[in-house]
Amino acid sequence: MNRIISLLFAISLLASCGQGTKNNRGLTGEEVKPISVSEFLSDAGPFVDQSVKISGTVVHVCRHGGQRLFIVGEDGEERIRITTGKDIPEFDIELEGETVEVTGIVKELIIDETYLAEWEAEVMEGSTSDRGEGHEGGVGHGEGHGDSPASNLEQPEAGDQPETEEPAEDPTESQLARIQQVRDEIAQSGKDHLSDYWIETIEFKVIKE
Amino acid sequence: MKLRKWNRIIHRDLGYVFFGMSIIYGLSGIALNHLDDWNPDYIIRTGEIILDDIPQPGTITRQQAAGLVDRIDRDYRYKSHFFPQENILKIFLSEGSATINLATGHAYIEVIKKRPVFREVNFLHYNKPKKLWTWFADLFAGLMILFAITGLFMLKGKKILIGTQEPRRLEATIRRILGD
Repeated sequence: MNRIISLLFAISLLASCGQGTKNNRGLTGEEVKPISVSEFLSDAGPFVDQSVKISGTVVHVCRHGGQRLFIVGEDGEERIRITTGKDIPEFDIELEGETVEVTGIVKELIIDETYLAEWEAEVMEGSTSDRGEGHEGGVGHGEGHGDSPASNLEQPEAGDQPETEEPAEDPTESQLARIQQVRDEIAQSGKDHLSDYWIETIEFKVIKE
Repeated sequence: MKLRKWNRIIHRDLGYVFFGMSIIYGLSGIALNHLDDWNPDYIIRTGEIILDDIPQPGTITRQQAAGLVDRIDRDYRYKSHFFPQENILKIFLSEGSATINLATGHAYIEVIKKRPVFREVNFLHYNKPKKLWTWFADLFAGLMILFAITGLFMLKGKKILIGTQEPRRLEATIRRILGD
């Protein structure tokens, strides 16, 4: 009985190890629309809940869990958030710098006053929230969550000393500031809401040059 | 075979199976309890240097960016580069990345390495493989409950349950329930 149990255990572990990052699953016959990064950024609304295929250079992979990455187009100015799907366990950090082709479903989060009020209530209660992720630098663009100090590397004024680490910002204050920033963006947009778009991955592959 | 003997066999055999799973969940549990203190998946090392005589933003080719990498460290390998902001050049290396302020020459280097053992056990603990592993982890959890219950009845006689006044009566009740 010992041997049987040990064998079953070993087989299960081997089977689970074989279910790592699967990135070449076929689609189930759904039409896939190829789009460019600039097309997506200019107006992703028509593509919501549809399968799209998009290529770009990976500029950031989330260091905690690898559930998100960000790609840019040729101009490298604005980025799109890509999240894992049910068949993708995580994104490997080695994807940074690679050009990838992602097939996935466009998702939308509508950010209106109701959403902001709920977010604000969570912050005031002290509960941790990931609502702020992807909203830095403007809703819909997802400039990453700045988990690298290099993201603050700016052109200093003349005579500046070498950079030192700034004291950590109070998370509640930073969340409230972000909420207010989004409110200001909604006010400037002339609409009653903003939309945050991202792509949930079905499959992806690295494009070798 | 007597009930107690089966209880011992089950508890012993589950213990063999649980050794590996306990190591996995125990190690990753400790690692994940301290997420505020460290990154359990990656070892991230950083450094800063000042480079001189760097090219201007509009003229940087792949060869020039690769040349900058050589100047930072000959062991690093260039992968690609882009400009996240004007005057900021980010070069992706096989080992991590280098972010260079082209106006000042200030380079911030980040070298990332997967943390052995912890990354693998965290991968399983987070149920990232899903599918078959989900079922296996559920089975493990159920068997852990069985393991805990059988552990209560490992000892004979008065010590069958710690703190119990009438262990034999309890054993007799269980036998009646099981029809033994």
